[in-house]
Amino acid sequence: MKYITTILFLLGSLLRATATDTPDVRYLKFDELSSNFNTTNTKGQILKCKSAFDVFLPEGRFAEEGIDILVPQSSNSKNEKLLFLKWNYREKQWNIIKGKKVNSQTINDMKYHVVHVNESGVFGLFENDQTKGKIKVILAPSIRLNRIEFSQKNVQVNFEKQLASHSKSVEIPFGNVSVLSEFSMDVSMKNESKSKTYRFKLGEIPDFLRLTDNKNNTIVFIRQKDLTRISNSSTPNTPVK
Amino acid sequence: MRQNTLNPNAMKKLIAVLFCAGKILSANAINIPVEFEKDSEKFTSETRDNLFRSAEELYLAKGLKVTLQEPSKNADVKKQALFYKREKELKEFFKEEHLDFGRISFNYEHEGCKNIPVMNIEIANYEVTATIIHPDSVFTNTNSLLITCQPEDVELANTLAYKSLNSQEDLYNANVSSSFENKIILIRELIKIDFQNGKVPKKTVIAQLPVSLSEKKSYLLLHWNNINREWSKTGTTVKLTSKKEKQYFSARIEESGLYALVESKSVSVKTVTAAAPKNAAIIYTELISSEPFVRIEGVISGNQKKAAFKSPKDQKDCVIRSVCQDATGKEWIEETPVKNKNIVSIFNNKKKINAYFQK
Repeated sequence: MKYITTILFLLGSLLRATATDTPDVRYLKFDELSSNFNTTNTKGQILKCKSAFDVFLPEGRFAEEGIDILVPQSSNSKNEKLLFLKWNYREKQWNIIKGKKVNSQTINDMKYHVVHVNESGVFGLFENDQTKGKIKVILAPSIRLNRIEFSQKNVQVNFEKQLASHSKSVEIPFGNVSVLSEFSMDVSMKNESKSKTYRFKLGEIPDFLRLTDNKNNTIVFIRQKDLTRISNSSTPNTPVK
Repeated sequence: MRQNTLNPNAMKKLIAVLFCAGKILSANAINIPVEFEKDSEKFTSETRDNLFRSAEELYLAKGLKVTLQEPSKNADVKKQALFYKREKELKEFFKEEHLDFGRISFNYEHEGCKNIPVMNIEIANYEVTATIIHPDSVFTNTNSLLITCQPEDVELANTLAYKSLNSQEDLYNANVSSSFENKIILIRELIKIDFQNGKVPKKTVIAQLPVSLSEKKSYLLLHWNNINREWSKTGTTVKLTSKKEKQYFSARIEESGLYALVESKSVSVKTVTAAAPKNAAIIYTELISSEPFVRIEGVISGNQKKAAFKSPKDQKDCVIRSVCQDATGKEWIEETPVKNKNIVSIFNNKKKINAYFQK
């Protein structure tokens, strides 16, 4: 009887093991990408994310042989040069994977980018931002900036910077800025240690405080009353401790 | 050990011998043309004599291949009735002679498609299995479309429906693009095809579709892929044919959906650029025009301030329609005409912009 029970248990375990022995690929939506990862390279330059995906490969055949991941190509992707990067959780940055190329494949008249993955992790296909220019955020003298996060959904970019020395200005290396781009800033008033988070879209700043120079730099001036207006118009954010 | 291999010369000889043998064997196949008395199902005396003379061959044959030239479904009723009576008479003869139907194949062909008798018996010197081969069925369906299809698709093709989308509203609501393989196309005729209950035929159905076009140019028939949202080519170039003062073309149809007749010549294009209203971002944009219908989706810049289009060069009355959004999340539709670059725009150092929104 014991013998039969043991065999049944082993069979059950085997079945359970085979049931979970399948790879899992989950494409990340922009909201998930921007809240958990940035889209900058190791030099701090902003990359445009074409697609990001979370891959789980169970030990065994799939981990040994790897899997191909298909990402649909956009209609104007003719001259796209894509980078295939892996998220490094420890260093919190996207690293190049040596020896991995982005190939193309057509299935049922649909064109795809194809990448080969043989380990678990978060991967992404990125494109360098070719546009010149920066965003220069300048705060009123009474405001200090502790952290800034910038994201733009249409081109899938996200940039975050911690400022150790309570700065009054910051530069974001991105020139293709839209009025719908979003900022999240931890700021504190002069002589105050308490910090507060403000979230707003660039278009919420009056247009005379947003200037574009002939080098395609966007200069954004932030006044205390703008922050107060933003704070009143939107859901109050939790102060950062 | 000695190997049994043939040298190349011997091999060539063997092939030649086998080829000749094949020729002789095929030449030995006996053909008996089956002819009937005028307007009757009775065999002519010559046919009857031939059949009786070949009775032994018919009985001993490895197989019989019967070819029958069937009148089309649109042919005269009397003609059709006579054909089926004659077909029945031939089968009766096979029965009376106790021939094995398991070794007889019936091959139905279009009438007059070959210069052979209407009915013919080939005493084959190869194994024949009982098969009935029908040609493509040709008939006029319930929606008055002349259809050519495989017998298994007859039922489905019989209810094939067709609608020409002519009005500007129809064209716009069809939500199709004027781009094909990165080129601009001018849609001359947009057609909606429906097989009943969303079914698809087993093989391609050919339908003669009427068109309102009069110019006898070469056209391409494209099918709109709703999933990829792009046109794909169907078959080869289409030519119009006249019948009772109406123009028709043969459409090779494999599924329901939207089809477009477009000119196969390329269209000259110019770049049109539109600028977004102040404090707004363009989130979707298209260039539209009537006569001929044009709808081209624009490429929006990364900063969402501009959109670029490839517009047909000679097309007038183009309008850019855009969905705009502001920082509060409010969305609205803006429309603006496309203008030629003028001295004012050059003065303003904005040479490239053709269209501005008023806000």
